[in-house]
Amino acid sequence: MSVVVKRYIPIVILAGLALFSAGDTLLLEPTYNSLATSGRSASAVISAFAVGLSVMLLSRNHARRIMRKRTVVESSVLLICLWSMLVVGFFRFVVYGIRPSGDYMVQRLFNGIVAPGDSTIYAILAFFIASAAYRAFRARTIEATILLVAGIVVMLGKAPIGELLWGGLPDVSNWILNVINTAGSRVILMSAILAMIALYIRIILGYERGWMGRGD
Amino acid sequence: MGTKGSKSFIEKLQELDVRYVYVLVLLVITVPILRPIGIPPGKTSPETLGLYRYIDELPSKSVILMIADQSPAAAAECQPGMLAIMYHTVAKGLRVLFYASRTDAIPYIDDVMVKVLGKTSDHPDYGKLYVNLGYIPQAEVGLTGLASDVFFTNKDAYGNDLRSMEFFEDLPKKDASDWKLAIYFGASSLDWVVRQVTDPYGCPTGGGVAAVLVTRIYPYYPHSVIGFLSGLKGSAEYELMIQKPAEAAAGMDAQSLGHLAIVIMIVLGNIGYLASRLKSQGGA
Amino acid sequence: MFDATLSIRSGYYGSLLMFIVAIGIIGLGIYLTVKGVLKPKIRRLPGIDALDESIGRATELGRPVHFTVGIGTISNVQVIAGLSIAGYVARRCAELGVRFFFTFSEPTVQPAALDLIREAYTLAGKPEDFSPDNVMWLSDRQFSFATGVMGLVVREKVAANLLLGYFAAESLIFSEAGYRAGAIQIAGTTNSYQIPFFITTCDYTLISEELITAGAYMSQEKGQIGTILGQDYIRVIGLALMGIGSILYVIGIKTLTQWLGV
Repeated sequence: MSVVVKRYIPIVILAGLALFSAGDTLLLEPTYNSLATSGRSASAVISAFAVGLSVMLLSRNHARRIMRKRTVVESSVLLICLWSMLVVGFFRFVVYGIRPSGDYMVQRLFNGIVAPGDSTIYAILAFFIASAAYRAFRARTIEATILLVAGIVVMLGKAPIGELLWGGLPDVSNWILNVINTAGSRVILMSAILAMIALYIRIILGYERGWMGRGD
Repeated sequence: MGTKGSKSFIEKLQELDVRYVYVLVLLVITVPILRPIGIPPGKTSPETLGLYRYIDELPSKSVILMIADQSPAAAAECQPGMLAIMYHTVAKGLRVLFYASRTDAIPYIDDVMVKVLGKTSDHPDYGKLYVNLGYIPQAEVGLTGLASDVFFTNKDAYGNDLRSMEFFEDLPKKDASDWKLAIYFGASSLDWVVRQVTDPYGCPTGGGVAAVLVTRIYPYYPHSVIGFLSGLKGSAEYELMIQKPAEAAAGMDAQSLGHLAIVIMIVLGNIGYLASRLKSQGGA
Repeated sequence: MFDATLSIRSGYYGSLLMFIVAIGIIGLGIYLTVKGVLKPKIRRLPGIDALDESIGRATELGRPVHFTVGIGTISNVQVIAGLSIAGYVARRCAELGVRFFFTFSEPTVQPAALDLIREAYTLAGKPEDFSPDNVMWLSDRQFSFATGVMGLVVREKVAANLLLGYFAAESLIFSEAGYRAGAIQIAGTTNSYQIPFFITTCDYTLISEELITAGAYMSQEKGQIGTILGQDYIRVIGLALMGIGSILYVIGIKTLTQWLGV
């Protein structure tokens, strides 16, 4: 019985919902379509509850870590303190009806802390791209040389300086992107989508169980 | 047996300390921002032209959906484009429906409305020409719901009832087939917009995307995606087309020199590599 | 409850037919393989073969292994594929006594990841070695997660940095951090615009569907290989349709493209 509950019931639920959703895309029937729309709203609510559940699990883990005085306790304490902001935000919404859009406090916190922090780490990529390109782009083989030349042409063609160096560079760059890159991207996209279909069928048939937290 | 010995200066070019690379990149990006050089912008790319012309030819009061999916990181590339397109839509008298597909992007909708219109929900045309639906979770699933029923969220981002708004009164089907264009701003992918809006409802997609995403968009261009702004350069091109050069145009010098610096480093590294390869082949 | 107006959405006849045909072909592939009529083999995937090499290297150096599924939710197919590989890697690390760190960004991954890795340690006969502290949710913000992974990889000096899942702009940050730590790096994602970053910085890269078929490749289970066989049959049919459709279109017969909704 426990095998049925642990293994087969989740798969049956998953398969049923997957076919139900796929059917809504392809079939037209008012009641069915409106049920599917309600299902989509329900999935948004479920994902919100799933996040809430995960927050509770993580609070429990980090609280346990603080109590056992594991290493790097400070980050756990900070995490739990910062979650108090959720409580503050929720309180302001329930009592005062303040929503995040247009709220002064949210804007200040976002513009003052979140945005600069994210932008800074994203900016590190500029340096990493330069060092990775310098290290990795070597004309070791014919294919690598072609890649190197194409990369240089596209990089210069997509900046104003490319046209300054040679007027035809943007056109060559666009040709590489429109023709060669598009062909390659289409192949990779189609292959990935076919593989995803096969994976979903493996999940529905119970071959892949990683998502249930079970390995072999 | 190869010739042993210390490496020449040219061979050492392939082993430069990466800190020199970092310093070079830092200089070529910050100096042009502080002291602009004025590199000519060059001709506008066909993708940007495609988007501009499409919006320019739309009749007044056409409905455009703007999907804000930019994180603070991607906002540097996407937000100038969103602003420029918003200026254009205001000038053309188009109706704009905003929504954010991630929580990070909520402030960017407010930012666009404040900078272009001066106000958000208290603007006199809010509810008639502009509606902000706020955050709709689960990107593709949320868009599926919105595309099938424009009243999916029932209320806008400020708690106002959508059904009471003049914006939606004359829309015949109250779904995505009433929209003339769906523009995605962000750095993840816009496949899901094409899947949920263009294919089923025939509403074309546009994009104001981070440059790294561009290779993923070309398979859909120009049939499903009628045009897009490719990173900061695309945003700069659009700013120049609407004759309001701003942040994106200001960043073009830095982008040009940054790209050139990376190309120079790659070339130097390859010179060093080829020199050591020739030396080992000559010595063998 | 349902009235008699069930119909196919206009323009979706071709899609419905292809949906049914695709499911049927994959089912046929599974049937033929399970019944032993066909014995297909998956070509070598160097990235997956290198997993054992990377774990072995970690054992020799006495340094840990780091595995991340990136920033996707549990419903993301790349995360699911990454989790099936993570189960295998966790079990091998448990058997060899190597420390194993698993990081993820979306909280929804945590329950599945904890159960999977705990089970891996149990199957390896070392349940006492499992520590939930090594299954880490660092942040749900993309770049906060990236800095957390960077710090972990450099601080712990991991010997193997396994990046198999859903990655966006932070992919290069992970791989550069692994390079600085001197780790062997195996990466895989279906995001085609991140693959070039992995190729330039990692030792092995699983491109797109190689990541998704990795679970079948490792298990060598007949049913799983059958789905890959079916997938390849669909690919052949797709190629044939493309070729025939292109020729017909060029000579002016557009029926096929119209009917398939192109």
